[in-house]
Amino acid sequence: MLVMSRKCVPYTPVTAKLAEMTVALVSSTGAYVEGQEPFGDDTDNSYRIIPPETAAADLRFKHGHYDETEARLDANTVFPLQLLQDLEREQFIRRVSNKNIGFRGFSTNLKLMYEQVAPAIAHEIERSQAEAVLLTAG
Amino acid sequence: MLITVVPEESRMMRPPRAVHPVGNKLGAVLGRAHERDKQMRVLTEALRQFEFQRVPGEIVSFEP
Repeated sequence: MLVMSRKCVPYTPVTAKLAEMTVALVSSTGAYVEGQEPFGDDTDNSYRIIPPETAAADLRFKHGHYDETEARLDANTVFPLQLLQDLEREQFIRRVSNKNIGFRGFSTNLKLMYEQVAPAIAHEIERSQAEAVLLTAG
Repeated sequence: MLITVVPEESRMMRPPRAVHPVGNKLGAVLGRAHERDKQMRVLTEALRQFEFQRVPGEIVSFEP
């Protein structure tokens, strides 16, 4: 398994222009799509893959450690998938990635998060169309 | 690219790139509900940072 340094800041220089980049959204806000299994309690370290065409009205949030009021009124407050769709139409970015990820950012099992969950999410992104990742939290 | 409203906490996680929209709060990191223009300013400013070469780990603050 590739182990990341605990001291260095990982950094990959970007040479492409935004209009050429496919962007994925990865978020610890507890975002999922209506019809997917909602997140559970603080021991739930699972994640959901959110398709690029998902409508904002179909996004749901279950986290429990931030005030989800604004997110439930308007998903773009914390999970701007609809805004990314708009930027794709405007050719500001090339497109929204075929895989976007929602998970609960609050975990008491940091070892599991570091050794299994985060690498699994990274693996999903590496196998996706994404060339850039936007991270949001609650 | 991380959008953070708690830059000092985020800095400990060593994100390669991050922006801090000053004044935004937890639960509405891009802006409050239906503040589309503000949300879009935060999003486009965050994305534009990909086109700048910066010091790894630098958190760029701006007022959206």
